[in-house]
Amino acid sequence: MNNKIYLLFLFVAPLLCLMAWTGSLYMQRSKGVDIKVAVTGYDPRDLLSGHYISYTIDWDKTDCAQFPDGVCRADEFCKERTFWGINRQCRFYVPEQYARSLDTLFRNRNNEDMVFEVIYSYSKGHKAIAKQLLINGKDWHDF
Amino acid sequence: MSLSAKLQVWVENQLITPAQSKEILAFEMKNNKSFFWKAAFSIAALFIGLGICLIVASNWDLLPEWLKLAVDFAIFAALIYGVYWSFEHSKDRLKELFLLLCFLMIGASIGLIGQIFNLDGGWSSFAFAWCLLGIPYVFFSRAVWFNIVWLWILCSSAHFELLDMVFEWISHQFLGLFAAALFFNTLAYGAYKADKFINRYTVIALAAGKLSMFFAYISVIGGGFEWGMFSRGVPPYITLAANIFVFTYFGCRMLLAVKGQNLISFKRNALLVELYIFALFASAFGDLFATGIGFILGGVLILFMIYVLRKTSAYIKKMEIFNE
Repeated sequence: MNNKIYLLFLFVAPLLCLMAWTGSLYMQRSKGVDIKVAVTGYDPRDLLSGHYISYTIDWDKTDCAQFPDGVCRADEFCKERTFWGINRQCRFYVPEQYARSLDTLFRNRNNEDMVFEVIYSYSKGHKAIAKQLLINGKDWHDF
Repeated sequence: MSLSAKLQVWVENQLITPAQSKEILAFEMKNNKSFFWKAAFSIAALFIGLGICLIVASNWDLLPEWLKLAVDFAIFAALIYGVYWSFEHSKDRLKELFLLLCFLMIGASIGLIGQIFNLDGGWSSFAFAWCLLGIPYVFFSRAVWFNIVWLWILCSSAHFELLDMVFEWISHQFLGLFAAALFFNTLAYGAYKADKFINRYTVIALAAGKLSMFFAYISVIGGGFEWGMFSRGVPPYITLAANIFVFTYFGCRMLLAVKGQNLISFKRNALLVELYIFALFASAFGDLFATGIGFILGGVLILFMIYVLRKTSAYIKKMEIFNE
């Protein structure tokens, strides 16, 4: 009987880990304060997680007063720790059916008047989580 | 010759009775774990798993994120129950199917979580997390290819650029690839030894052994092509040393295969050495006539080697009788 319980626990453990990870990300996202950052660059790709837009944060155009201590914490954004160092690449995932039109919009260099921003959920000491992509101040869905 | 044809011949020659022939056939039918069914199950699992991954990847906007996660976790939980149920009822093929699906489901789930929370992690983090969480499913699977895939993904998580750098460096040293071949052979030897002790629990050591052997072959052949070919313009003594290494390596492998009565390994090494000889001749001769003479000589040499081996080795004959 004990063996059966161990076996079942072994098989369920990865699911529990994934659930715990999701829970912690959800908590972190809901507790953080909203920070709006200006973004540049584009590079939509198709990977296992679907289409995403790859961008860099333009800190010169970002209002640092939004941060609790009034200082831009660039270190806590788009930071992926790997065995070999830190990789900095920001991503925002978009549904497949909109990927092409968003890609065109991002690629079109004539759209100088357009402002692309991302709202992050930020809690000090944690990696910020991207929540919303804005185009000219509107959610990309409404654009 | 198929088993039924062989049995018929044995009955006709009064080696066995018709009743024994029937019994042997019945036993073989009961115990025959056909490759076709295994492959069919694996391919089906792969299709379903990849289908789930692609649905997740399409990032359908219609469902709220909590529902997407709930559906994902519910499917995962159902698959886990499938694994548990097949263990309980000793359904080996179903067990393999569900284990593979669970492993793929982990990848799909990490992808979905990454998508919902816009995580920035690249392949290294993704592959490492996937492999780490997939350990229980890989550990209990008896499918060697599944374990090899897991090891491959784990290795790839190390860092593509770093592996590339290491490989670049090794391939530019004369002894680099041959040292790598010896390293992978030692690794394979250790893995096969370990497999003898742990095979009844897991085939991970066997998979590690096979993967190491694959890399060993790549290293030897790569080293031979880099340093042993006449057209590469390297000093003759280096070409000679490289070819001595390649032929000694394959010779030792064939000798071990004969000693261990492993016909598959013997054939694999024989085929590789033949192809290497072909490449060597192709690199050695300039004009068509000389190349033609070279190929004929090479072919005759190979035929002579096979003839001598078949005539002199009782082991080979035994292997051919029992393994073909």
